[in-house]
Amino acid sequence: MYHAHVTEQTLFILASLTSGELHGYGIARDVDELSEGRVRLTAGTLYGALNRLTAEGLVAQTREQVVGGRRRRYYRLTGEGAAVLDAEVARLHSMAASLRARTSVGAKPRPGLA
Amino acid sequence: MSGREPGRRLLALCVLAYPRATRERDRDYLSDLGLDLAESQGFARQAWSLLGGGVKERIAIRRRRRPRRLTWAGRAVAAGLALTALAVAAGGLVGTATGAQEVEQFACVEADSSATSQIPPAGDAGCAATARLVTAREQDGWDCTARVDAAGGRQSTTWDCVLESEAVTWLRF
Repeated sequence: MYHAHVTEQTLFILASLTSGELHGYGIARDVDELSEGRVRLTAGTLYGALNRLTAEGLVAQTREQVVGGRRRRYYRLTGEGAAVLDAEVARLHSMAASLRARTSVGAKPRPGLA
Repeated sequence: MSGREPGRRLLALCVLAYPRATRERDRDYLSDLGLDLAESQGFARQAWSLLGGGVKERIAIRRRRRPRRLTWAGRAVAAGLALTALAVAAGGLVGTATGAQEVEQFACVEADSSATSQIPPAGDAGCAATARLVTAREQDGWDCTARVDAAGGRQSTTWDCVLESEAVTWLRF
């Protein structure tokens, strides 16, 4: 299945689950760290995103546990989720390489566009 | 722990923004997730997030929902209303058509052409004057049809003139 719109939030959530199953709060903390504070997931956003990703089959809920009187739901990355993450990372890498080649110092301007 | 109670209550209130089905399933989980995240991000941020998430989910559900199917009674009422509307519209147009038509009739009698000595009736200058009136009507857009009757040695001419309104003309086109 091809996912045309993978948002930055989605990408970081999928990336956070590559190391194993995590609960919602754990995902939010990991994404915060991974994105160096750029992506901060709040309760409403995270809940909606995880529900959507579960419905799309990119993540799966594994279990629910009460820790310190609070319910926590654990999620893991599915095979499809891993494939989507790989494809998106490759796409971003390729795009970054193209842009870097064009914007790097000393890059030759194309004939006729100088 | 008591300091967290107002925050917990605030988050529980914000969870009310979610649709009933979601609340029944995940009310406690949403509150607990909000409480967890509030420790690093603050209650206000989580409260707004839950409110926004709830509204967003309601909108998404409304968009997904199919238009309601009409029951038989509903269909009957809808069909009745449609027929009534059509009848009213048609009646209005027919009324316009008949009400906007103006009819005038002109008539004249002239002496038999063979009896040239016959004096025309008093006050009648023959059909010429009437014919001029009819011509004037036709120039004004009237549609006149002449009917000639030569019975009794006298020739009588009758013109039926009809003027139709623009609405009627439009209807015909």
